[in-house]
Amino acid sequence: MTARCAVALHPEDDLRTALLPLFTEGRVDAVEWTWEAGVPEWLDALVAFYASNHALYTHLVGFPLFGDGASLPRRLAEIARRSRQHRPRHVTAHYGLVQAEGFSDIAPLPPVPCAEVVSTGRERLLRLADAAECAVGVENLAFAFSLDDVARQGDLVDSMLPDQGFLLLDLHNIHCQAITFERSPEELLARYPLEKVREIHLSGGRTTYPKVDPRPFRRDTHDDAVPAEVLALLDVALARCPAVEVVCLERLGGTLATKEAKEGLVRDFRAMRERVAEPSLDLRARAYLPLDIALPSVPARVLRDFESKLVTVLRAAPSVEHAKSALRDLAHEPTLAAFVARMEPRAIEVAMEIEKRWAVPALDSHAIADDE
Amino acid sequence: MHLPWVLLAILSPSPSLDEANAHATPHVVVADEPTREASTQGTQVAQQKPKPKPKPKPDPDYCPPCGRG
Repeated sequence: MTARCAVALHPEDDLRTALLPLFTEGRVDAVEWTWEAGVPEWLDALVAFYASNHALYTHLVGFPLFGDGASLPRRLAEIARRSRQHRPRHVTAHYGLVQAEGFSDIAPLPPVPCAEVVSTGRERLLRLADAAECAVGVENLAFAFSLDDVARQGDLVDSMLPDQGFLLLDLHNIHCQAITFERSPEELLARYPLEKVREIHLSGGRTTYPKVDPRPFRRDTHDDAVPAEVLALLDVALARCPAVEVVCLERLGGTLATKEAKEGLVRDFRAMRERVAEPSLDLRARAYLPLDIALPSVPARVLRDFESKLVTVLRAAPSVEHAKSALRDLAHEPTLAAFVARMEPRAIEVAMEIEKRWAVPALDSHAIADDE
Repeated sequence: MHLPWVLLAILSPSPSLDEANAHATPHVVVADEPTREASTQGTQVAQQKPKPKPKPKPDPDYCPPCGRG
């Protein structure tokens, strides 16, 4: 079966006008929508149309797969309500910490690789599936503090997926890690359970050069065209992921100011569609084998304390050295200490920048706790 | 998947609105405009103390976009 070709919807008007030629030509098989986003009239109508044709996919940006999860009851109630209304094909959440003390939202950060993270992720996915009444999946994260984060992510995701759970494979995120950590993207793909991939994401981003270490650090910013390398990786992924149902093009609204940018988005979609229509068949998949390494255990309270203060440290530290030193002071336990010791200074610099840009302070410091 | 024409109409930009926007000339009071009326207005504008902008409140329904990596 040929996978569907989808676009991610956002409420910004430039995205609407950019996508209009594709909708007019009837090229868009499905749409992906983030429930947490605002809904102008045109988007509401579009979502309702695709939902009624069983072609709506939903993606949650701020669902707390890990961390304290204080906002979980409120979020699950909203998800249940939306799901009854729209009946999406499936729901996906991001791998990563998305909650921190004193913030209503943060940009996702890699969790500490330990047994508690896996059990928390699994339990939250089961609750998400129960609320949404459909299959649930996890999307791989681009940002990593170290090569260790990169190497373990596939195994951690695989371990926490429930029986009907699946992987949302973001190819630009794989591309980001391949550039930043100087590995081949195929090598990174082989670290994921590709037979469990039900959705693929394509997008663009930008490469930055941190001051502390100016090697390229690729970031998943969704504000540029899909790189040729990512389109080439789609060929590989389609050949190795037998259960793909939908391939989705992502672009951030508000980043399509020029006619050239809008035309570029249409070109990206057409290129994606051509590849999906004629997937290569001659590429041999390498079997995925999880690393046979027992995960360490971290006392829950110690882990939560570290997770909740991570973003505060990243935002407050005046320099990378200060941040690393403060994180060392936070890590009162061997697994946490090893996690911090592995953090690359350039990754800390990028994390500081990302959280200063995206972390949203809570209305008051007790807002999250009061939600429970 | 082909969309019904009604939906395409909703998606398409409104020609009347676009036209109105294209022809609309924003009314700008220039402080040193060389007419008595405008000059007076300009003086008034100059003498008015700017009102302090209200502090933006965090939006509880704020949605973080994807692509924050």
